Amino acid sequence: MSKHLALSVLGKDRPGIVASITKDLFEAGCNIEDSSMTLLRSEFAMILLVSLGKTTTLEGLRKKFKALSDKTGLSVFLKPISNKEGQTETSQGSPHIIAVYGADKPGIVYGVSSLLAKNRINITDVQTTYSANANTYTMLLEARLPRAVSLAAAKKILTALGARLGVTITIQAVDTPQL
Amino acid sequence: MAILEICTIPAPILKEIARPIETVSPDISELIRDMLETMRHYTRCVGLAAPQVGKGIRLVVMDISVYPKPHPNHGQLILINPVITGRAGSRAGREGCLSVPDFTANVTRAETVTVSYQDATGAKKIIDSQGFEAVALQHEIDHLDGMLFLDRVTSIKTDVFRRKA
Repeated sequence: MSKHLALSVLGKDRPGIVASITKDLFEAGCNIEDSSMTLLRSEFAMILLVSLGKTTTLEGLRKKFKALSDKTGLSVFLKPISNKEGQTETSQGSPHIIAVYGADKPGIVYGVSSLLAKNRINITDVQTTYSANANTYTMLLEARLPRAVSLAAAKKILTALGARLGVTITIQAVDTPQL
Repeated sequence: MAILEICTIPAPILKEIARPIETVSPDISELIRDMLETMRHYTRCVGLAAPQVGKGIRLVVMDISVYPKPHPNHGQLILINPVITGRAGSRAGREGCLSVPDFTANVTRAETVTVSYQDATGAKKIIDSQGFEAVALQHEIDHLDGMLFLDRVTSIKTDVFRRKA
């Protein structure tokens, strides 16, 4: 049986969502190893990577979350993953930050992400915000450049895309000293 | 000479206030040599504070000149009992720390600092530092007061990154 589980939760925001999910996990003997949780307007979203305890059963967890879901309306999705997947970071390449901003319109995220995908540049994190006052859309991406793609090459194609979309796109290498 | 073991969170020594050094004893001189060797052993490592190698004393070694990207610097620095006596401006930059594996964060620091300290011979010195070196000085002197960069983060959403390499 899988020793790790990926779990996603989505629901209308209110106090107690994190507590209700983590209570079920704790009582089932699970350990939360990694997570990302955030509020987007009225929807609260959680992604968790948990390791299962010796006595945890997938069926037991499914039952608990079914009951929680019926009671609270939270959407809970469970995905068993292999041990190896549960312990390794799969993304390769060197980390870069890409900033995109400009007048909002449909197609910015798609345009940027499809260009990155075509060049085998893997997105590892995305945050976007929309400012109604300025009608400005901002997207910050952290992405991994494969060896085959130089920073100069990535800069060139992103700048060209920015001109086509009418937004500013910049990319820089993440420069992290060890202190 | 030896490469020293790095203490990582949650080691209690990283949260303690380090003791002043009264005299530069032979033991301290040996520790300085070992810390320099340890700092140079790790890629992109340009500074190390004594609590990071398990010694609760006010000692920092630094060398910005070895960093891949050039920055104005004073070369190799050995700082005993360093004190920041002046600071001005502010800048944000990404920092990593051997004692905080798996995370990096954007931290806001002063752009320039004045630091008084004693060198490896015990002689009193004062330097004015700017930019990246000033940031590194603030990070290392924080270690002597039990402060980690995680203690200076103000926004998870924009400041903390899980290190993926």
